[in-house]
Amino acid sequence: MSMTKSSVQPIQKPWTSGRVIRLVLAIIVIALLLWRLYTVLVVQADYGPETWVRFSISGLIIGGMYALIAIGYTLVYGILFMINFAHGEVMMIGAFGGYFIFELLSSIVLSNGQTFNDANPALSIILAFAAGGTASAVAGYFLERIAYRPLRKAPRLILLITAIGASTFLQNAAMLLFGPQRRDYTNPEALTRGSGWTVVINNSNVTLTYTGVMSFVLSIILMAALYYIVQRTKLGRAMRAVSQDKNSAALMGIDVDDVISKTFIISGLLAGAAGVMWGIHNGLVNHYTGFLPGIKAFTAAVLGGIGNIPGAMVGGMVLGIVESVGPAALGLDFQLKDVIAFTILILMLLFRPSGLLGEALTEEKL
Amino acid sequence: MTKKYAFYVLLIVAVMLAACGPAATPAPEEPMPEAPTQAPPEATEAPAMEEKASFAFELVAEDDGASPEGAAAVANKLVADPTFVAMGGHAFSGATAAAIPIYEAAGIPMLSPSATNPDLTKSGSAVFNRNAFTDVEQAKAAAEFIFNNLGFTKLAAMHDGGDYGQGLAQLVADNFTAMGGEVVAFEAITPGETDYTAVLSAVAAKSPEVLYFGGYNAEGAVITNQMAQSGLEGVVFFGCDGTFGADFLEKTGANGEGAYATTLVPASSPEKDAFDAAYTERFGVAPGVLSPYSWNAFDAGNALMTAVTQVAVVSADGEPEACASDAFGCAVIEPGQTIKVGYSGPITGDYAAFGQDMSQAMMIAVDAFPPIEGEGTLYIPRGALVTAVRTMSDFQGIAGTITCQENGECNASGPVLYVIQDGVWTPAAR
Repeated sequence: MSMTKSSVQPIQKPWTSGRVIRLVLAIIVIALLLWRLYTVLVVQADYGPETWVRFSISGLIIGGMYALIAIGYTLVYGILFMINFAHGEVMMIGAFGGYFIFELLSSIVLSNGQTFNDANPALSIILAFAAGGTASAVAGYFLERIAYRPLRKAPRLILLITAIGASTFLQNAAMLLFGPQRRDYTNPEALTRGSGWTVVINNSNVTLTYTGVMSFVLSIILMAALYYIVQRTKLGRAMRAVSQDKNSAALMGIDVDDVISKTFIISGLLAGAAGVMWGIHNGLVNHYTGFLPGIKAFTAAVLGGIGNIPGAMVGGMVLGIVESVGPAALGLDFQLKDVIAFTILILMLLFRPSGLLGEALTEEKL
Repeated sequence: MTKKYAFYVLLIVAVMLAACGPAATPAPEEPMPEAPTQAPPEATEAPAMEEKASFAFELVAEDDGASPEGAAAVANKLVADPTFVAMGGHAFSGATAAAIPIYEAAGIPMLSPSATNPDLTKSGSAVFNRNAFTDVEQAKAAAEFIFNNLGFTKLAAMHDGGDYGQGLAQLVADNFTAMGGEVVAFEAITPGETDYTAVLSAVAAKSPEVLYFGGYNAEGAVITNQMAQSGLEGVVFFGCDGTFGADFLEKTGANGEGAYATTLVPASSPEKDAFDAAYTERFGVAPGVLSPYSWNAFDAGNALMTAVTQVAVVSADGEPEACASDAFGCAVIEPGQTIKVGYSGPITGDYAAFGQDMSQAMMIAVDAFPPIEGEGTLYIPRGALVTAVRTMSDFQGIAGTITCQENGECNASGPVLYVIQDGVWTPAAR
């Protein structure tokens, strides 16, 4: 985590041949992109403004969820210098937590014939988020205790393999527990999927779904809360200290194991919230739900600069928007949206390996 | 320190247990293939050749993950088993294509309940058959219905990028253009996702009247639910046999009203009701919920076992003549062994529901099928079995009649068009 910007002066780099090649490549890539954008936007002009607004809305909503999950990757990386590949599965467990609360609440029929779910939408949603967050936080806590803590001193590669193993284990455990079929989230009536405010743009109805707006607003609030915790609280200061140097932090009286546990709990809470949002907005969850968002969020974290919290937020949003606007803007098939997302990742690693907002690497991480 | 010692002691015990585990129980490991699960007790005595033996069928359900690599691995594993005689799969078209050459070399007849890509029967394979209807027939029926009966002229075609979905969407688009309609958009989606609003918005910008989708329930239901919010209000969703089923109704609710699909789900009959009841009782879920292919899989299993019964010879004195003259020789089943019928599909992973459903349906067929009785050893001439499946005619299954043509197309009943009316799949008036 590079919360504290050090005031290191940029070093004047020499013009090596590698740097020249990269610069030429960058100019070619940018020229190609601009040419493609010009063709699609000006020459073909297939899509009116209402379509671009729809693309952006889809992108912002999914971007918010990616950002919440990406923060989990970044927090854990900042502290343990490992990629927690089981994080997507932690999110899936949260999605199931919310699912079961909604199932429970919608099975309670009140005296006026309404279900508890429909009668108290706000309370039901709060309960669902609480359950989802708790489930994911518990999963994250035990994941660290069982799978990662015994390997604290092991080489980083071993932790990575353990994380992949934990991911497969959680996925298959969920399949055995909950069955392989996709399950439908029972939203409260007020939050019916697909319903929302209608805005007329260019004589066409653009829908701002309630579920989407709720997801987006909530993800912004959660990100702000996290930023506050990391920057302004004692726990946040301890987390930053541990991320910079574990040994010195321990010498200063910080319980490193405790801070690591709490980091996993916090990233679990955020992933759980993202899981419940995923369920409420997209509607279907199964044991596989966490896999793709997990990979995408990892991409987002790298895009923003892994280990950098605002970077994860920005990376998530950028990735969401690129995925929904990119194929149309470049005139490509929509199936290629992942190709675009991962191409951006590769370009980013080539030209700016530290990510959009940069990553502060301490000696230990290198 | 004591804690650390306790840990090492535990570790050593665990290692010893792990090492001893298989060794301590070698008995069931070795004779597993001959385990007399279904056979009567007297069959276990080896020299009792004159005793009446009973050869039961056994289902071997394998997980190919719906991928060509997985399918090839499964096929290679199964053909190595001398008591494996027939394959009720594979489930997905891409996986099936990879597995066909392996069964071809080993003389194993296939009868797939769900692999519908048209090219599969064009390769001239002697072993591959299917009781699913082909996408050619399905696409023609769908395009004609959209153009003639619904009277739409602007079609958007979408697919999931798979062999099945893309082939189907392309065929519908070709048929529709040939009839004089206009295909305004042709888009692919990434399967397994739950948010397709971006691609739907792009399709909406081309203002189609009907949206054809080639793919499966999971994606079809998501598309149907997100059409209105993406600017496709009032556009008709037209699916395929992959989007038919109770699951689609459940997942789309009110959004699904007026959606079309093609299917091979049979009308109610006593046999179908009996199967439905058995399936529901055993697996706690009704057939058609996990995948639309439950009935087809049941039929495929029964048809294969019927063919085995037709060609099998029980002989107490050595190999019968049929084995010597057979191009692939005989599968030899000793008393106490079972006749293995295979199934292969995605039993884990994103499409797990499909594979599990079909293997469960086939399990019901296999467990209820009467064993072959006789004295001696059972011989199944493999080449004759391949021919018997290919020449099968008028086999009455619960999902329709199975009559195999020379190329291996065995569905003689054709697709049925259904539409959702008042939350129920109803046959559409043509």
